[in-house]
Amino acid sequence: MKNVNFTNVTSRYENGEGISEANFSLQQGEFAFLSGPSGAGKTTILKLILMALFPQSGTVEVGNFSSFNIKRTEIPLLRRQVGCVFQDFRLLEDRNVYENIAFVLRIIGHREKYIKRRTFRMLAEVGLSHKRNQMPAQLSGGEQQRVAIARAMANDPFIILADEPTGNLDPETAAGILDLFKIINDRGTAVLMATHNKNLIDKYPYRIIYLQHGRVVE
Amino acid sequence: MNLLFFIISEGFAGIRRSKFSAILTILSLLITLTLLNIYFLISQNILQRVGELKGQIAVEAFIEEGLSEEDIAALRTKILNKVAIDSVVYLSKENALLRFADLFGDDYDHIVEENPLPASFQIKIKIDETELKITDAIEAIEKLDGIDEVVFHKKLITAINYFASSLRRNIHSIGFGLIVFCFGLLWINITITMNSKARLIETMLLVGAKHALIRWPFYVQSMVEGVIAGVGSIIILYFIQINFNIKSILHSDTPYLLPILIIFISLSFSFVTCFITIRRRI
Repeated sequence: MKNVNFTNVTSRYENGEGISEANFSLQQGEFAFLSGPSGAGKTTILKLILMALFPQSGTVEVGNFSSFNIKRTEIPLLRRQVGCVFQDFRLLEDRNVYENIAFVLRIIGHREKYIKRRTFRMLAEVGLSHKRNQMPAQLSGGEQQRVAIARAMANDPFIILADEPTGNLDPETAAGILDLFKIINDRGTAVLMATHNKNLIDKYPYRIIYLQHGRVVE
Repeated sequence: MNLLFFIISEGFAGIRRSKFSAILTILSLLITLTLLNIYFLISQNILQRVGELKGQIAVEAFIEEGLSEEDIAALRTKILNKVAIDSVVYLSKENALLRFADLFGDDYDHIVEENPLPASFQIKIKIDETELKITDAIEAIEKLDGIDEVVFHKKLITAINYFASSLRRNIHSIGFGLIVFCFGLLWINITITMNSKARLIETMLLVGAKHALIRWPFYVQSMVEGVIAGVGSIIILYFIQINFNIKSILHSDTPYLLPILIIFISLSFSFVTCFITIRRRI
């Protein structure tokens, strides 16, 4: 069972933003919203999980890895177990939809046969098989986010981190994206979604980890 | 194996994906290599001509009268053994007279009754020897028993030596300047490319790519670009050699050495610049 555990985690920026003494756990298969006003520390928590940032005190545990003793060379291995979806999609603009998804499989060294099979499956799941040869710039915002979700799911991660994934989308498309996350979660993948969209949070009966002035208020 | 294939294919794909920057890199390399090649070609030709000119300056050592053939042969060997001496040709009194006749006409026998010209050694000095060694050798020849006088155009050799050494100095500094220029050009180009791909690289890291997997496709791309620029530069070099009838800088029995050398230099230069630039960023 792979979990995410925050134990007395403090990580502050020079401007005072960040989180203080954060304690929470996210179990495998759980769905949680990470909510709070801008600057409350939502993105800091996601960065800490990805080990793009290290706590000044406390420990972040992600699966078998701990911020306390993780080696620099192990960080990519951790990130391969954590899927990421960003507000601005962060697709690789210089390659097509298929190549974007295949990339995360190629860097692990999978065989081309497996990569092809897995990529087509991911494309089918997000309903974009017919757009596999298109470049990201040729897709709508919703479609780009679907590609990002497919990419995040390609390595079969135990958790998906989504940083304001619906922030740049209209309400209808946003609901479609959230449905997609729900399907992913139903299969046993944990989802931690940072959002300050209250309407969206109210619509779904999931756990809310609320952040206020850098402190976790559940 | 799959990762190796990934790195190589990504390296080639990098050229296709960022055509503009790849063309700029290849052009930067091509221009600088071509400039270096032309400069090297011309300067080597000039230095070679200077050397030939130096070699044509003969030193004349006049032999005292009455030496036997054995004495003359021994004297010749002694001169030939000196460090700065390339060749020694014996010119007998008779041959000296014939040469005089060639130069000034054959009515000399109306003026003088007997041959007044002495036998001599026509000495050629080594073209790459220093002036000091040449002077030392000439002084040593002057002191040899059996040598009457040595005629040596020291001022001409000094002038040629000065010209050759300043030319060599200029060749080195201009060559070095061109290399620095090329390095700067590539550095700027790669830095701009890296800046434009900063977000792409950050995303790759966030989805789990190892640093090496991001770096190596860039290295492969730089090596491919280096080879393309090297081949282009060779084509231009041969075109110049043929059209302007410039002598090749390398010996004719090693025709593949120069192209291989140019490609190797181009590839190494591109790779090293890329390596340093990328290691500073990723």
